[in-house]
Amino acid sequence: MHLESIQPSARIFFGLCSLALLAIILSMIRKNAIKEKYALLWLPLGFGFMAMSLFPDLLLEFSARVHLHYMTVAVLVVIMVFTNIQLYFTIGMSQLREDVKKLSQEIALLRIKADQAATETVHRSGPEAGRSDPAPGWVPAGPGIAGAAAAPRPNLPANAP
Amino acid sequence: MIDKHATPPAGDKIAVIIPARNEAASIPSVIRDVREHLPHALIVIVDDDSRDGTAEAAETFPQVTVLRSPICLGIGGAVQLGIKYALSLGIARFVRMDGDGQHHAGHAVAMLANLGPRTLVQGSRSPQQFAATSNWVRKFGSLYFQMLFRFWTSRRIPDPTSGFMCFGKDIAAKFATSYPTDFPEIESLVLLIRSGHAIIPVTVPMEARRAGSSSIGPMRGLVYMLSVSLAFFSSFLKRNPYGIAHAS
Repeated sequence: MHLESIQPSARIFFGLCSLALLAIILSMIRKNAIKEKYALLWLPLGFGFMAMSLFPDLLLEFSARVHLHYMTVAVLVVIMVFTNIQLYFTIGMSQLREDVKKLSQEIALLRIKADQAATETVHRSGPEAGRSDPAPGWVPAGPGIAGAAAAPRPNLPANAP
Repeated sequence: MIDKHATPPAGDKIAVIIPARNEAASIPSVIRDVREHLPHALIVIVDDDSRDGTAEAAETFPQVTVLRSPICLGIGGAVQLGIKYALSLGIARFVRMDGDGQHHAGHAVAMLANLGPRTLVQGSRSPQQFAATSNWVRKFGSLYFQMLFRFWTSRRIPDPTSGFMCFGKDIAAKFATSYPTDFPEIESLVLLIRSGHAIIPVTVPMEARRAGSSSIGPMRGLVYMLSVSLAFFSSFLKRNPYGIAHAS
């Protein structure tokens, strides 16, 4: 199929689509809804589509320059370009997931430290302030623990109030 | 057979890390079990964003640390969180067991006795046991992974999918820096073997689940096998986060 055969109705449709795409991209950039590096990816695409629908001769010129004479080849090229873009996104998503995991773990660790610090403060300022026996920490003074007799207070930070 | 009240060596602290997602029904009995058999251990319950009050059920026990993740980390992320916490307290030995009552803390004592440097002791079901506690997907999957291990690492891992294990500080530090997220057991074993660690299987009986539902149904079982296979082979492609094996 030759590109000269683009129908006016198809041109109008293509034009409207690219107009909508460009409008969405620009409004996203304006609202700061997409990061600059993604805007850099989408903006040339939007303008490219726009230019091609306004001046279809550009498309013909382009296809002649790169020797793209067949629709199947053109479709394949388009699919490959977009697959690459998706791969790029997948890499970003995997990285994000790893980041989110690390952050959540950090939050959980900070949370438990804050909780333990809070209960410790309650103990210190409470009526039992200054008592010498260790509060039940994670090591109960069971009969079997070898180190318990020598060191009655478990020497772990934070967890033992 | 197992001395329930074997005294742990002085200064050798144990943390029992129990990842739990929606295990409110079984977590109290698991905690009591650990208390009974490992009375000196620090119990770390990692609540992986449960919806059924798992964290609250665990917090009713006074000497239990409950870590709450704000989002679902996945089993690997939850285990890693527990390890990070225990490491920050200077814990030397780690037991990782399930929150659903499949694993008995009493057997962890025997497993800990086999623990040496650069080793991970894995609680393994006997084949008969495995048949009794698994659906066909798991049985097939387990055989398949045993074969993978034999061919690619020439190790016998009788129960590769078992999440009942204990390990020392050296391995814990490695898990803290890198641990697979979704199906961590097999991939982490491969990486450990390839970085020169020994996996010691200890045969222990395991229960069928007491409550809740397994994270591995038939369809998910297939996904499990495919993604773990990929992880298995890709572990030979990528740089081993646990380091390169030393000739010894």
